Amino acid sequence: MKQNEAEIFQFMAEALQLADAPYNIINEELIMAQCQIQVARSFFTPAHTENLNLQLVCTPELLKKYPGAELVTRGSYRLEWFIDGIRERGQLTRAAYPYDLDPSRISKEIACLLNQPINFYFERPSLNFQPNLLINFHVSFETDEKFEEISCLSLNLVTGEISTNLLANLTKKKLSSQIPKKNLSKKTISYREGFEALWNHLEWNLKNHDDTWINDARSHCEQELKYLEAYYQGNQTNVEQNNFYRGAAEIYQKYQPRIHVRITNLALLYLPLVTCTVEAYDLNNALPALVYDPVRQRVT
Amino acid sequence: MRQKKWDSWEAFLLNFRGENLALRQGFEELLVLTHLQEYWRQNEVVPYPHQIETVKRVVSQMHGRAILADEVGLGKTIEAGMILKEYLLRGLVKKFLILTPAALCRQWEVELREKFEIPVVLARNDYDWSYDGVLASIDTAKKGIHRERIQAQYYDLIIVDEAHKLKSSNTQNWQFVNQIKKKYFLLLTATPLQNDLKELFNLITMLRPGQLGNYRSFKKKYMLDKRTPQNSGELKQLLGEVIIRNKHGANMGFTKRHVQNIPIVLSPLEQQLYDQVSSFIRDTFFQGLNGKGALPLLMLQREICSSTFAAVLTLFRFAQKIDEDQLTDPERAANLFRLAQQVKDNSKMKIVTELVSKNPEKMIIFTEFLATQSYIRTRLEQVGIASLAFDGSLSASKKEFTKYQFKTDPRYQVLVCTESGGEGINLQFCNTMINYDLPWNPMRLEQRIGRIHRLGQLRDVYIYNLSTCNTIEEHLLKLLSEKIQMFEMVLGESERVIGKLCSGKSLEARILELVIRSNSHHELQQGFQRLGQEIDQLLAEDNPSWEEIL
Repeated sequence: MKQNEAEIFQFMAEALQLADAPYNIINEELIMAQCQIQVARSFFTPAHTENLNLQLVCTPELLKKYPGAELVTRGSYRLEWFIDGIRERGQLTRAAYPYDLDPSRISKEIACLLNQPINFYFERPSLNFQPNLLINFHVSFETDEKFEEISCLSLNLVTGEISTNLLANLTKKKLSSQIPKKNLSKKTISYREGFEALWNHLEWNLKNHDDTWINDARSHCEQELKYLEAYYQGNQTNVEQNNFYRGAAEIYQKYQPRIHVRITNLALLYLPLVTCTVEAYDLNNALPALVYDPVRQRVT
Repeated sequence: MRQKKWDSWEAFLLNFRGENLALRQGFEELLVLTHLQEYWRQNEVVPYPHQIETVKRVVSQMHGRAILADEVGLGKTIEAGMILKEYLLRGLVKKFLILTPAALCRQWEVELREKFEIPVVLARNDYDWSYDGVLASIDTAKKGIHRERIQAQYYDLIIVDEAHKLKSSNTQNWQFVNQIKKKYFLLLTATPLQNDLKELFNLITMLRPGQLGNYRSFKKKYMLDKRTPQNSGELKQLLGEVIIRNKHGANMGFTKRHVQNIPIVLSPLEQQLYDQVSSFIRDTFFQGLNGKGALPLLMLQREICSSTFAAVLTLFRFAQKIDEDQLTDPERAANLFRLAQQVKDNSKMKIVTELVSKNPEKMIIFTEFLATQSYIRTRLEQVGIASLAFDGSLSASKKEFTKYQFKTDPRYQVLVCTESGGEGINLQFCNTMINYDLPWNPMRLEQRIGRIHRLGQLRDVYIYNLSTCNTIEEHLLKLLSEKIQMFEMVLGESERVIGKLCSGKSLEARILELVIRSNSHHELQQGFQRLGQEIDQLLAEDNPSWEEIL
C-alpha cells in the first residue's frame, strides 16, 4: 500500500474503533465493518437506524481480489462519509501528558538534550503542569478558485508563548483525560484573552501568507475588465452603461479574494514542565535553573 | 466550554487527521472523479478521457465560463454535470440554475440525480426559485414574475442547454439570460455556428463580453461576409479560449456498428394485399382532393409496410366509415379488410424468430405500431421466448421497472419496443437490435440506434434491418443506408445530415408524395433515385470554412 492509501486505511480503522463499530481487518488490506446509520427523523419518529455493511479497500488493484468491496481514496464519497462522522467527535478535548518526577531519568534526558559536557550537579527537580490552549483553524482561500489549509496554533496560558508546532510534537504521544490533581499551574491568561491572542496571531500569519493566489486573481480580473471595456467602448446609452457596471460588478465579485476561517477543534492541554536547579562542579559559578519541557524535548 | 462534553484525545487527533484528508487543493486533480468513482462503478457510468479533459480545462483554464460545443452524442450533459459536481464538492457553487428547453427538463433532472447524485428542483412555481439547485425550462423562467425572482438573485453557476437558441441578441431569451447575475456560466450547444457568424458573436458575447471585441470591430477583422470568416487562425485562437469542441473520431470510445439488411420476400397473399392497399391509398388520395384525409392514408401505408396486423384496424375503420369526413370507398376497404384477415402470418416474423433463437444475447425489436408489437410478442411466446413490452402507454416508473427487469431477469431475452416507448432510455447493456419496420423519419431511426449505440456501450453493436422486397421499405432502406449513410455513421454525425435534409419539407412528407404520385413500382424507384440525388447535392454544399475556426 502506498503511503496515502495506508493513511486512509488507518484512519478508517481508527474511526470505526472510536465509533465502537464491529470491524475486521483482513490481510491488512480489507476492512469489513458494520455501521449503524440513522435515517432522518423527518421520515421516522423515533429516528430509524439501519445496519450498513461495508467492505473497504484503499488500493484499486484489490478490487479484483475482493469483489464487492468499495474503493476508498482521497475525495471519495466513503471517505467524506467517515470524515463527516468524525467531525462530530473530538471537537473539544481536555487532556494531560502524564509525566512523573524521576530525578535520574530527568537528568539523563536533559543530559541527552544538552550538546555540551555537563559541568554541574542536578539538584532536586520540581514538576508542574501548565495549561495550553490549542486551536485548529481551517482556512480557505477563495477567488474563483479555492484552496484550503489547517493552521494549528497553541498558547501557553501561563507564559503566553504561542507555538505552531505543539500538535506535531504531541501526535505520537499518549495523552490522558485524567487531569493531574497536584502541581497545576494557575493560568494567568483567560480563555477569552488566549483565544484573541491566537486569532491575532492567525491574522498576522495570513497577512504574511504567500499572495500568489491574490495576484493571479487580480490579473484575471484586470483582463476580464479590459475585455468588458473593449466591448462597451463608445456606447453611451444608459442601458449600455448599466450593463457595463453590472458586468464589472460580476467580475469583481468573482475574483475578489476572500479568506474564510472556521475552528475545527480545540483542546485544553496540561503539559509538564520540569524545573531543575543545578550546582556547578567548581561551586564558584552560580548557575541558573534549567527548565525542561518533555513534550517539546527542549531545555532552556 | 463548560457546557460541552470533553472528548478523548484520540478523537481530537482523528478529527484533525480527517480534516487534513478533506483539504481541497488546486484543480490538478478532479474531485468529482474520486468522489463518484464507486457510484459510477456500480451504475456503469464511464467518464471518457475527452470529457475529463474538458472539465479540467473549464475549471482550471477557463475560470468556469465556457461554451461546451461537442458534437452530438459526445456527452455535453455529462461534462456539464461533472463541472457542476466539481464546483459543488469544492464549495465554490451553492446556488445554481439550469435552463433547458421544456422537453429536456425531465431528462436533465434524471441525469443529474442518477449520474451525479445532484438533486434539483424542477421549477414551476414562484417559490421554487428560492432553492439552491433549480432546473427550469427557459420559457417558464423568462415569464414575468419568475424573471424578476431570478434576476434578483446571484447564481454561482448558470447552465444553458441548447444554447444555439440564444443566437440572436435581440431576442427575449438572450436578453433574459444575459441579465442574470452569475459567477460561472456554461453554454451547451452542438451547433454554435449554424447560419451566420453574428450568431457565434452573440453567443460568445453573452458568455464573455469583449472576447471578440464589439460587433463593429469583429465584423471588420474577422468577417469576409456573414457566412465566411477571415483571419481564421487568430479567430480560432480567440474562440479556443471560450469554446471547447470535441469531435467524433476513432478514439472517442464508440464501438463498431455491424449492419445487416435482410431482404424478405412477401408471401403471394401478403404481396397481393400490399399492392391492393397501395393502389387503394393512391386512388383515395386523388379522390380526396387537396390532400384532405391524407393523414390516415399515410398511416395505412406505413402500417401495411410494418405488418398486415397493423393495417387491419385502419382498414376496418375505413370499411365502417367511422370518420365522417373520409372520402373512402367503404366497399373496397371492406374487401381489403377481408383479404387482410386471410393473412395469418407475417413473413418478417419467421426471420425474427430465427434471429432470436440463434442468438442468445438480449435483443431489442423496434416497431412503429402497437398491433405489430403485440403480434411479435405473441409469436415469440408461441416459440417459448419471453419478451417485455415497452411503449408510450407505460408510466415513467413502469418504464424504469421494465428496463430493470429486462436488464436483470435472464428469462426475458427480448424487449419489443415502440418509438414513443423508447425515447430517452439508455439500453447500453444490450448490443443487438432488430428494426422490424423502418420509420420514414431518419431522426427517429437515429433515436432508435442511439438507445444502444452510445458512449458507454462496450461491445460492438449489431443492427438487423428487415425490409420487404417490392415495397417502399426496399427503396427507403436503400436511401437511408446508401445516401444518408444512416447506419455507417456514429451517433451524432448523422444528426447534422438529417438537419440539412429536414430544413425544408420533411423527408417523411417527401416520401408520401412519392408514394402517391407513383403509379408503378418502376416510377417509385425513379422517384427515390431523384430524392437520393437531391440528398447528394445538399451534402456537397456543406460549408468547409466553418470547420477552420471551430
